[in-house]
Amino acid sequence: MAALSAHLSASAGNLRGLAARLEEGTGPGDSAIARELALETTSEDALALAVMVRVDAPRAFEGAAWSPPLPVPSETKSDASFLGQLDTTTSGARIGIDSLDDVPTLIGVLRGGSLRQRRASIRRLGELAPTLVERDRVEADQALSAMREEGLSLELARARAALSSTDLTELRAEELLATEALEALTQQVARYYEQEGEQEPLSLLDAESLARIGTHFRGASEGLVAHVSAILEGALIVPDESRLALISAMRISGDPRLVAVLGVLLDSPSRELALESARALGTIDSHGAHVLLRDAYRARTTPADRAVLAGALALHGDVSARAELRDTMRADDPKARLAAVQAIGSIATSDDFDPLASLLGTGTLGLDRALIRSLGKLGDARALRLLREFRASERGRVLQAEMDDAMQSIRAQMELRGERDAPQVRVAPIIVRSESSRWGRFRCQMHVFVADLWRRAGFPVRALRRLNLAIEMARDVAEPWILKGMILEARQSDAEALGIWRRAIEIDRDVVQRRAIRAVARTFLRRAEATREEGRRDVARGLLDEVLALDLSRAPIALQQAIRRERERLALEDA
Amino acid sequence: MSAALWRIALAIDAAGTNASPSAEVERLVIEVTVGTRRGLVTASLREGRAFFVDETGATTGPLVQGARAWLESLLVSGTAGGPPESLRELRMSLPPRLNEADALRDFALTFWRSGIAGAKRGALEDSLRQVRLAASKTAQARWIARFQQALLAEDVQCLAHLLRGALSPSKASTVTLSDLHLVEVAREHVDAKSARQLERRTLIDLADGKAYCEERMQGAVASIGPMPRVLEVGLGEAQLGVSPPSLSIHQYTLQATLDAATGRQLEALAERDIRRLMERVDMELAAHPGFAEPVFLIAPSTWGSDTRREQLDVRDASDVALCFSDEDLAACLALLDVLRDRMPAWLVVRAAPRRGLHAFVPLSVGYLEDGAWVVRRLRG
Repeated sequence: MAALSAHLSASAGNLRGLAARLEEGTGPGDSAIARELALETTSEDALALAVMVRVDAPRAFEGAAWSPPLPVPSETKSDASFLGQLDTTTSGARIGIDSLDDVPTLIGVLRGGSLRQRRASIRRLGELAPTLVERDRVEADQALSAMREEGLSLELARARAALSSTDLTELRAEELLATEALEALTQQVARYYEQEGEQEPLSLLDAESLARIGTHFRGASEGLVAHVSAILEGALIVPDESRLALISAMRISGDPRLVAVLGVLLDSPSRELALESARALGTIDSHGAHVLLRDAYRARTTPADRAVLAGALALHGDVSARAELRDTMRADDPKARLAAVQAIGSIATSDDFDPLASLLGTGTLGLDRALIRSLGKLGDARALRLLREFRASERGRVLQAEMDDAMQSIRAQMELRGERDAPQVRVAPIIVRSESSRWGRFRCQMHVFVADLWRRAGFPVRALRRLNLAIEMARDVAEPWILKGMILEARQSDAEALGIWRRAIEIDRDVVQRRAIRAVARTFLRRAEATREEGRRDVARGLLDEVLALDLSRAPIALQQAIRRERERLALEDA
Repeated sequence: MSAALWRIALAIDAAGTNASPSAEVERLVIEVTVGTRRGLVTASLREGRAFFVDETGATTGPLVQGARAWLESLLVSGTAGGPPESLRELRMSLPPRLNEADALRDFALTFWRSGIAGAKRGALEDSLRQVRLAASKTAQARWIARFQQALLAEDVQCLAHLLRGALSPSKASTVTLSDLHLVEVAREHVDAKSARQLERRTLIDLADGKAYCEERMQGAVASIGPMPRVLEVGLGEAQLGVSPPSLSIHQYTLQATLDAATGRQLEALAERDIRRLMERVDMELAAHPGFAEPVFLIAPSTWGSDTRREQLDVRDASDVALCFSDEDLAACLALLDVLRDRMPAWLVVRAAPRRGLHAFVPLSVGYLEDGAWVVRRLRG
C-alpha cells in the first residue's frame, strides 16, 4: 500500500503532478504496487488514473478577461512607393484613397493597384462623380468601362451609373433588372421552404441570370444569403456542379456575409469546391477570409492547390507564398505552373520579370493569358518592351485585349511611382536564374569596375552599357544598380533613376544609404518637384514620404531640409 | 488482446466488410512479438494451403512459428473442420469489436501509460483506431477530435477532463419530445473523424431558452432549411448524456425567416450575467465530463472592440469580460467586423475551455437592421 500511496501522492492532488504524469506517461504498471494490492497491472493503472482525473480535472474553470490577439493582416508594405504605401482609408497623417481627389491618380490606382485599392478607387470615383468636370468624368468613365474584374462588379456598376452620361439608361436598367431578380428570388426561396414540391429556385437559373445575381448579390436580403449558404454547405440536396456554379457566381459578388460558409468549403472533400471557394474568398475584402485562406494554405500539400490558395492570399496582399510560387513556376506540372503564374502577379517583384518573360509563348494560350496579366500587375518597364514585341506574334494578336490591359496597368503603376519608360534600357535576355553564381558575381564586379572607369573618364553611355551587362551577370548585386542610379542622377534622368534606386534599395538598403544617399535624395526631391508642378500632388507626396523613410543622416543637411520643407509645403497646401 | 492481434483482426474485418463479393483475400500480414523480437510475417493462402514468410524472407524461425501457431489456433477454434476457402471466413472466429465505452476506457488507459510524449510518437494509434471503429455516435467521434486538438495544444487540463469523460461517461438515454418551438441561431462545422465533418446546428427552445443541437455528419440527411429558421417540432427525440442534448427531428414545419416577435423573445431569453454564464458552463462540464460543449445565447451590455489593437472587449453590466477562445480566429475577426458599425442584441457562443480558463467561441450574432432581425453567422 505504501508504494501505491507514494505513487499517487507524488503525482495526484495537484495540477503539476497531473501535468507531469500526462506528459511523460506512467509506463507499464508498477509490479510492486500490483503485488501489494494483488492486482493485475491494468487494474492498478486504471485506479491511479481514476484517482488522478477525479482530483485534478478542472470542474470549475476560473474566469478571466482575455481575447486572442487577432492577426489583422495588412497590405504588402514591401513596396515603399506611393502606390505600395497607399491605404484605402486615411488615418492620421497618412493619406488614403478615400481622400484622393485627383482623377488621373485614381485612374492610375484603378489600373495598377491591388484588389482592395482598386475597390476603394472605384468607390471614390463614384463619390466624386457629381463634382467632376466633363473631361475628368469622361476619362473616369472610360477607365471604369475597360475594367474586367471579379469581385468589383457591383462597385463598377454603381460608379458607372454615377459617372456615365451616355449609357446611363442602360446601366440603370441593368441595376433595376438585378434588383427585381433578387426580390423575385427571395420570394421564390420563401415559397420553396413553405410549400412542399417546389423546386429549388437557384438551380433553375441560367448562367447569365446567375451571373447577374452574383454581380448584385451584396444587395441581396439576409434570407437569400442564408439560403445560398445552406446550398453551399450541402444542407440542401443540390448536385456538386450546381454548388460549383453558385460559388463562381458568388466569387463575382465579393460578399463578406459568405466568408463563414466559404471557409467551411475550404475543407470540402471535393477539390473543385474547395479551390473555387478559395478563389471566392480571395475577392472578399475581409480579414477573416485572409485568416481562413492562410490556414487552408498551410494544410494543403499539392503544389497546384497550394498555388491557387497562394493566389487568393496574394489578392489580400499576403506575400508569404512568394518564394514557393517562384519554385512552382518552374515545375513540370502544367496545372501547377499555370496556377503559380496566375497567383504571382499581385505579389511579384522585379525579380520575377525574367522567369515570367521566359515562359511567354512557350505554353498554352491560357498560360500566355495568365503571363500577360501577371506582367501587367508587375508594372516593370521591361515588360512594356516585351509585350510590344509579343504583340506582333500570332498569339499576341489573339490576346490583344489582355495585352492592352496589361500595358495600361504597367504605365499607370510607373506613373504613380514617378517612373518613366526608359527607351535606352535594354530588355534583359530571357534567362532564369535562382541566384547568381560565383563566376557571375565575379564578372559582374569586373563590368562594374570598367563602368566606373568609363564614368570617371566622362563616357556615361559606355558606362551604362557595361552596367547593363553587369546586371545581367548578377541581378542580386547592388553595386551595378547603385552606379547606374548615380549616372542617371548626374544626367538628371530622374524618372528612370527612380526605378533603379528602388531596385538597389530592395537588394541592399544599408549599402545604398551608406554610399549613395545623396544621389538618391536628390533624385526623389527633383522628381517630387516635377510631379507637383505637373499637378500630381499625391504622387509627389508619395515620393517624398518614400525618401523620408530612408536614413538620410549621411545626406547633406541642406538636402534633408529641402526634402522636409517640400513635404511640409505639400501638407500645408493640402490642408 | 495484444496490439498485434488487433491489427490482424482489423485487417480481416476490413476484408470482410469492404471487399466485393467476388474479391478473394490472398495475403495477410501479421505483426508478431516473440520475447524481445518483433516483426511482420506474411501469410498467403493458395489452393487451401498456407505459406508463411517473415520480413527477411525466412520461412522458418520464431516469428514465423508464432504466426503459424496463432493462425492455426484461430482456425481450429473458428470454422468447423478443414482450412478456410478464404480469409473472410476467419471473421466469425474473431472476438467482437469493443463497445464504445470499453474502447474509450482502453484508450484512456493507454494514454495514461504513454503520456503526451508517447502519444506524439504514435503510441496511441492502435487504441485510437479502436475508438474510431467503435464510435457509432457523433459524440464519440467529436470526443476523438477534441482529444487530438488538446493533445496538439498539450492542454493538460482539457486532456484530463476528456479522460474523465472516457472513464465515467454519463448515461445516455433518449426522450421523446413534442410540440417544441425552436429557433436555429447558429450553425457550425466541427472536426469529428475528419476535419469539419460534423455539422452542428444550435436550436433554442423559445419556451425556456434551453439549447439543443441537431448534428449531421457530412453527406448525411437532417432537417432542411437555412440558418436562421424557426421550427415547430411535432415529434422529435433528444439524446441525453451530452451537452447540449442532441436532437433528432422527425416531424416539423419550417419558417425560414426570423420575425420581430421571435427576435425579441430570443433577446429576452439571453443570459446577461457572464459570471452566471461561467457557473452554467461549470455545471454542464461537471454533469457531462468529456462530452459537454455547451452553447449559450448571451446579451452582454457593452460591445467593445479595440480596433487599434484589434481585440474584442465584450462585457456584462458588472464589467465582467467575456473571454474569447483562440480556436477560431476568423470567427473573432468576423465579430470584430460586425462591431465596427453595429451594436448587436445578442451573441451565441460555445464554451471551449482552454488550459483551465473559461473561453468561448463566437458562433453568430443577432441584431436589428431596418426593423428586421438579422442573424450573422460568424463561424462556418
